Order: sequence, then structure tokens, then C-alpha cells
Amino acid sequence: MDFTFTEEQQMLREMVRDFVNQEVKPRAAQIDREEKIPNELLRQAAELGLFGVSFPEEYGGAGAGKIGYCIAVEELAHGCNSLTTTIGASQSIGAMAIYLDGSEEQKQRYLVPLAKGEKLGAFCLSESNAGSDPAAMSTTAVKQGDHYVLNGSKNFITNGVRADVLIVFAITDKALRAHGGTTAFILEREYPGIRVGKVEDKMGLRGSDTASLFFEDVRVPASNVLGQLGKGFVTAMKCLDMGRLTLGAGCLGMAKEMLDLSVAYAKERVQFGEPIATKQAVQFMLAEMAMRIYAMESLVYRTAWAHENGQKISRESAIVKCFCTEAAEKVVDLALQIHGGMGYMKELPIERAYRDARINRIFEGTNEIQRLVIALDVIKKGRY
Amino acid sequence: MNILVCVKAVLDLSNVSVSRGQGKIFEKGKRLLNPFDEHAVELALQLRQAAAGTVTALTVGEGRDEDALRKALAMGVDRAVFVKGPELDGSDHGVRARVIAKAMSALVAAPGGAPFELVLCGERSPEHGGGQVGPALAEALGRPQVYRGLRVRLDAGQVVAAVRTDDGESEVRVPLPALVVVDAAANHPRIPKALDIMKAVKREVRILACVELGLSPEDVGVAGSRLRLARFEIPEVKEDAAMA
Repeated sequence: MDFTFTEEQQMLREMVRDFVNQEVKPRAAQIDREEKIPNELLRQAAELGLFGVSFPEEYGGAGAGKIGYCIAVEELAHGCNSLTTTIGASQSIGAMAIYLDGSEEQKQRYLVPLAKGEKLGAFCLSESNAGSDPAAMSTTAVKQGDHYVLNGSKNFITNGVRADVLIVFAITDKALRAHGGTTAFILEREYPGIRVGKVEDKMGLRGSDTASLFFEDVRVPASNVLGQLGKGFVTAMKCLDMGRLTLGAGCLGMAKEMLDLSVAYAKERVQFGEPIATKQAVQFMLAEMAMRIYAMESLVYRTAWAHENGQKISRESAIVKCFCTEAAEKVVDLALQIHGGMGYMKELPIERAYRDARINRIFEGTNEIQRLVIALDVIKKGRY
Repeated sequence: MNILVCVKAVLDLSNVSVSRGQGKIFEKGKRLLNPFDEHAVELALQLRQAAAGTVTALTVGEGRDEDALRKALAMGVDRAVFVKGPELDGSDHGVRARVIAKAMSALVAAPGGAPFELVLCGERSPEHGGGQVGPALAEALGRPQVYRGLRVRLDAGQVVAAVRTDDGESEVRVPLPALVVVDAAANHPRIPKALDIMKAVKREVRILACVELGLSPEDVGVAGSRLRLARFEIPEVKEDAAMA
């Protein structure tokens, strides 16, 4: 076994860290306050190749693979979860759908600009009555000549306001629904009939836009069917495997940042005549944080390695998502506790992380659904 | 216009452990391109954009120092040269300057070689902080030196630069070929792109051995240096220090 990161992986980490320290961290509070990521920052991230880290060079990416992508997400999450989510939704699940199941023509037309960050992607699966149960979706696509006509709505769509390319899942066969009756489509924002509905006012991730989208007689060329007709559910699940893994990487980065801040604060903050780092109560909290981070890191990169080597990771990515989101939430909570009253103030990034972290147990499939995925797989196949 | 940038690999201080007892610093990760040298690399790349030519990054050291060249390649230099050998360990600034001058001659004399009209150096390194290699190299090459250049441009065979002085700035002009020690406030070094990092790792680094440069082990390292390291001591970390 070799757990050493390669030279390019270490350089990639250093590069994203430099970007985050120089450009992201100084703007993170403003992004949260103003609920918008400056276009200039997205342009900088695009120029560095952060929208296509995992994709091969011929598709506009950097060719750094799944491990490289997890490294990039981890480092981004040190600075701003809203930016991480914006890039992640576009890359892990939006562009990834085209990379995994798109035709060569679709890859050249849509994946390349997404990977280069010239365009932003969104993954449109959830509906108001189809969250944990996507098979209950009501958006439909009916074939008319060489087009499909889409009608329906999607809910809680990350990048719903800004995205140029939408991966939309719709029912093409009501009898079969999730079992062969759901199809993925690539929609361009300019198609007539697409309307942005409610833009959500969220507890955290305030710089990442979340909106509902309405589709009214949207005509989509049949050539924009993504993957096989009726196999959209399979595409969605494959994308979510990647999304759950990289969400774990983001949780890892956020947790590491919280530990860094907490160690520095505990060494500096003096109470009863000595730094609080000398107090066992604080030491135990730091230990709890470090243990979780070590476990998170092990899970994320073991799973990224498995994925890189062609292994199916449905169970593993569910484990990563479930464990890392819960561990990160605990780590943020402990960081806030160590910082005391200051941790509760907007002056420090911990308050923001506390709000940002809460959604992690819900999106990309709730942790309850992850536990079902894990349990059903264990019952079916046993342990490793 | 062919530009040579002298770069140094430095410790990643965020990733070392220090043993006071053994008087040693243990590295746990890769080495970094000296952040002061990044300004020299950036200036070289900007000058290349303004006037066609090539940028060569060169370092002197041992195995892990190649990490600095990889970063320079990722930033966009055209080629990388590594004067490499364990005998170079302990070389002072004078030896390093002589080694670089010899390497430059070897590169110019090699097939397809062309003179380096401009040599750029960083201001200093964060570890030793001597800042002597640049001036010593200018002396070894017999070239005029622009010290701590802030805004540097080329104009009709001359280097025109605003340089930092004790009480502000002044403008200097020197004829090419010349050497510029680049001030750390000269520019904002670019962050390499992900794809360029992936490519940089696969690119060729030209290795030069001391023997190829006509240098014997006695000419370099501790033996060839006039500066002697008498003692290396890691100070005790004290909590009660106060700034007056």
C-alpha cells in the first residue's frame, strides 16, 4: 500500500491552497453577506482549471482524475463553501453526467466549455414532491418529431440562477418511471420556456444560488438526450456517487480549516493564566476533531482511489457522504465551542461554517437515504 | 531575448518537524520554489511576453531541489536546468555564483545554445536570507547589476528599471547583457494552472553535473566555500518573549 500523493497531486494542492489564501479567503465573508460570488472570482477559478480538474485534457480538463479533484475540492473548502458548492455542482454532477454518458458530440459541445469554466452547469433532479424519492418526479418529456417537449418543475437546484447548461431528468415512460422510464436531457439556458422561480433564502451556503426552475413546453432536440432513453435514473445515480465523494472531500477541507483555527486559538487564548490549549477539556475537543479528520481523510482518498481504479463506489460513496457530513458538523461545533463567544460572531469564519455545514446531511441524498443505500448493499453483498 | 532565472528550492515550513536535540529539521513533503524567486520567474514571463524569446530556470543543489524547477515549469518557463550533485551541499553564495556562471557557459556552448542577455534572481531566500547570490553572480559574469528592481522593462538594448532605494525609488538604465535582482514587491506571481501542473511534472529537466562544468569536488560544497558554517543551532521556543 502506498498512501503518498504524487508530485502533481502535491503541486495541485499547493496551487489551490495559494488561490484560496490569496483570492478566496479575503472575500469569503463578503460572498456570504452579499449572497453572490463575484464573477471575477469564478473567472479566476476557471482560468486555473478548477472547473475541470478531473476531466481529461481533450475535454477541456486538467486530467488530474478523481483523486486530484478531491484534493482541489478539499482545498477550496478551506476558504469558502459557497464557491466549493458552485464549482462542485457544475463539475461533480452537472458536467460529470455528460462525461459519463454523453456522446462525443455532446462532450465537445457541452462538456468542454463546462470543464473550462466558460459555462456553468446544474443538475436538475429534485422536485417539490420528489426529493429522497426521485422516482416520484412529475416532470415529463414527450417526443414530438425530432424534439422532446419538457413540462414540469425542479426544486432546490444549485446554480439554478446562473447555470448555462442544465441536466434535467424527466419521465419519458410513465408506466416504467424509475425503472426504464426516466431520461436525462441536456438543456441550454436559452431554450424558450425555461423560467427561474423562487430563489431560496438559505441558512448557509448563501453565496451559492439555489432556485426552482420551471419548464413550460421546452423543446429539446432529440440529439440532447443524454445517455440511453429511459436510463436517466442510472445516469443520476452514477453522478451522485461522484457528488457524494466530493462532498466528503469538501467536508474534510472545512474540518481541517476548523482544526487549524482551533489549534491556533487554543494556543493564543489565555484563561486562568495560561493558554487554553493546556486545559484537558480543550485538548479532548482537539483530539475529537483530529480523530474525525483522520477518518474522513482515509475514507475520502481510499474511495477516490477505488473510483480512479474503475471500482464501483455506490456503497462507499454513501459511507463517505454520511460519515464525513456528520463528522464535519461535529468538528465545526467543537471549533465553535473552543472559540467560545468569539466563535459565535460573524467576525470569524466559524459562524459561517456552522451554518454552511448543516445542509451537508441533507443534500446529495439525505443521510437517512445513505444509510438505506449502505444497509441494503450490505444485506445483499455482505461486508467486504 | 533569452532570459535565465536563477531559482532555489526552500523548505516548506508548514510541513517540517524540528528536533532541537539533534539540531535537525526534518522535511515531510516536497520543497517549494523560493517565494522571492517567484517574482523573478513572473518578471521573466512578462518580459518574454513583451519581447519574444525563451525563459530558462536554473537551480543548483541536490535531488529534492528539482521541486522548485517543476513549479517554475508549471508557471510557464520554457526549460529547466538542474546543476545537481551531493558535492554541492554546503556551497556558499560565491560557489553558487561560480557554478551558475559555468552552467551558463555550458548551455550557451551546447548545440542550439544562445546567450542569456538577461539574468534574473530573487531578492533572497527565506531560510538564510543572505541575498548574496545575485550580486555575486553579476560579479562572476562581469555584468552590470540592477539591484531590487521594481518595474523593469527593456528598451533599445537597455534594462530600464525603477529600483528600491533606502528613501524610495530611483530609475536606473544599464546596457544588456545585465543581471536584475528582482524586488519582492515587483509583481504578483501567477498561480499555475491545473493543466500546466500536470504537464510540468512530465517535462524534461536538463541535468548538469559539476564534472561537465569542469568543476572538481574541491571547487564546490564546503571545500570550495570561503564562508564556513561554524555551528547550527535551533533556538529554544520561549513563551515569555515580548517585543519592546
